[in-house]
Amino acid sequence: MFTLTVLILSVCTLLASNYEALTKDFVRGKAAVQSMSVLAFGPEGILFVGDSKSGKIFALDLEDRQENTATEAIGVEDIESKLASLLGTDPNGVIIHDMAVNPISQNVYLAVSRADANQLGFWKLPNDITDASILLRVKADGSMEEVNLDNISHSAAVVPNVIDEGEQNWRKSDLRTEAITDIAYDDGKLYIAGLSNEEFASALRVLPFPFKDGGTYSTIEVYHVAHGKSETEAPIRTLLPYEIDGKKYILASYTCTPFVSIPVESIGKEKHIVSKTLGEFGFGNMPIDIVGYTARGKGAIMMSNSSKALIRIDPADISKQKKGLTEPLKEGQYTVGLPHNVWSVVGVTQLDNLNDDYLLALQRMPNGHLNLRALPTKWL
Amino acid sequence: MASKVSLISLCLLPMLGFAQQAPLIRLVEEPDDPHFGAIAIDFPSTSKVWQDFSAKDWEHVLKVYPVQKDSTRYGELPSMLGEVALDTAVLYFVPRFPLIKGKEYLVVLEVKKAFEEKGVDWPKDRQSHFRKTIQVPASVQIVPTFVENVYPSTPLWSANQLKFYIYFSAPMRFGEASKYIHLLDENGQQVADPFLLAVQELWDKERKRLTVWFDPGRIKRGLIPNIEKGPPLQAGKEYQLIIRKEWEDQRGQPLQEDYTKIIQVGAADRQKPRPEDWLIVPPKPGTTGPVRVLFTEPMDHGLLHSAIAVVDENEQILKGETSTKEKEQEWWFHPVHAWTAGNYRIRVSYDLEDLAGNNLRRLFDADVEIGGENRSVEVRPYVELLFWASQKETKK
Repeated sequence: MFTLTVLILSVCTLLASNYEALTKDFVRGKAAVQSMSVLAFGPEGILFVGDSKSGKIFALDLEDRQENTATEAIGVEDIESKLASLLGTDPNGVIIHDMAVNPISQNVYLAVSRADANQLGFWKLPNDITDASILLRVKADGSMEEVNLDNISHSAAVVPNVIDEGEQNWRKSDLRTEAITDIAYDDGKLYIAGLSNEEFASALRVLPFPFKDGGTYSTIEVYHVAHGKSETEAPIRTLLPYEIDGKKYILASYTCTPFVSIPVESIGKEKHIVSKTLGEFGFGNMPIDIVGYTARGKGAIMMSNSSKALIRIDPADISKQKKGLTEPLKEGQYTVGLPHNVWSVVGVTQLDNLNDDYLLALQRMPNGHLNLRALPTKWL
Repeated sequence: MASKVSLISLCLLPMLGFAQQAPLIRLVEEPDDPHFGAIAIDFPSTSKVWQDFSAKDWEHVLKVYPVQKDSTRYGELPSMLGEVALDTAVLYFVPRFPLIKGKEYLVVLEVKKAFEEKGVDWPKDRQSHFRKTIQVPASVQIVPTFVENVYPSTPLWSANQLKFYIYFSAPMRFGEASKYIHLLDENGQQVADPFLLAVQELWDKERKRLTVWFDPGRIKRGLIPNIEKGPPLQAGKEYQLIIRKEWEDQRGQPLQEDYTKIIQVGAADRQKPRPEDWLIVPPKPGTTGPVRVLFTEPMDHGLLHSAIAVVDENEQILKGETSTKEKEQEWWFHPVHAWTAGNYRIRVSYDLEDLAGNNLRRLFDADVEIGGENRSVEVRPYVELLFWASQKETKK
């Protein structure tokens, strides 16, 4: 009993000291976020906000560390109507830009704007329409509250060499909106995809966390099977740090949906990296989120999309794929390379891990409502 | 015992008021009112209810909902984010986000609940809620004042940048600018006293445009402030210009949000603008399309609207609209009447400046003149550039 208490105490101390070490340089005050382009959780309930407009990453201490070990489903039906009521507008007057689940508390965080959702399209994403400036917390009971950024413990880091504003991409949006397209935290490092000012604009950066000097980046090239050429201008849309055969990779996907791997060790070391195109999952689509999870005791990867149902990938297949794709699609081909399954779950935009038994999705339902919905991993 | 007496008085006094008439629920529509855009609840004058209740007592019972198509759903929808404030006899709901013009909002005051939370019974025969639907008139634009723009709009400023303009969406308060305009260096530290604001604030008549000068004493080389403190902007560095939302507009309301402009500072500009290098894109005769002047660098936004005019063959200055494009690297003029085929001239005042305050005649930061510039023989204080209203492009 004594040993157990000591063990528990020392674990607690360890956790507490980790929290203190991570937030040592945080200051309390206004977090001057200009656009909540993307969200991702780090350790200790610290939320990272990628801000394309200011070209920075903010680390927010949400002070949301009450552990919730439940393995229950949660959900909010017709969340757009509820957000509209909260923000004083119509359901088509709110846009959700990103979603992240706090792995400690299982509270859900949404980056939201009060803007005209009628402007969204297949090629018009929330960040193309406007900047998200509202951070909301959704609790397990469905209640929602705003997170006040005017007085919050936080730190911030400049993302090196983000692209200037002023020029438009083919989707008629300012390139600066793609300065930060996705972020992910893994093992003391924050990985940041997006566009840089380099000749090869697509970049992957690594910042140490807690933030200090020593951020590095590489420009990234992809062989785009559907387009039949190598590309360096298009940004990674979503990424996931993932271990394959004992080695850490960034798995990432792009518009028109090549799926690639990049060895983590080369990021920052090599100025320019040619990624390995594992598969081509279909043109006419933008991937939105990739998550890793465990189902039936085995690792699995799930990807949500703008114009496709959920795509499921078996990591063992990535391991088997020794060579990257280098040939264009042949006449009539649609998907090639890495085996994958298109799952019977349509309309999912945002996707994240909720707990051991569920993923959490924002899903457009057949009745037109947007639901916050838990998807049981035993069926995924 | 004392508490029992106060409880009874608490019971009776408010009843008297509410029994006689309901509170008046309204939108504060007058733009000069400090509570403009809030929802106000005027308690009946006979009621003393506000004397015993604090703003906090009303927080959970004053609810505002944007009216939705399906009114049966209010029970499952959250009420709007906002703050409750009590100002003498008036209770206010200050929405977190501005109410939208033309839209209807349902206001619900759960009086019974408020009383019960205070430990006071509410008579069974009296209504438990007051509710009213208010519509925001389409003519009332409830938006907090915000920074519309900062000129120069380019993020690339020269190290001897002289001034900039801040445009607000509504009139601002005079005399507080220095508190709310901050220049931060790459480490997030405030640059000390970069501007001339404490001495004088240069507003336009409407008080919607503020001209902010960098301290010229720090820009002009050789002057004591320049030697002691150095220039406010250093080449090769990045700065953030921040306009704080705590700055109040003329009616005493804070700005909608902080405004931040990232500035990359390049080398000092020590060249006079050279009109002979500018490109003129002439208009087509028979149209009111623009004549465009393409500069070789961004010019001062304020002066672009006063220092250039178009003159016809009869020496008449044309009426029309001027605008700036391409981050003030272009000046456009749309005439009121269509162009006729023929000669026109762009008349540019010598006073037109680039961003570093260099005008057509002299550098802002020139060495002391040694009589080289014979200003005394100058006939006209402007230069003219000829163009033809025709199909072809002409230079100069």
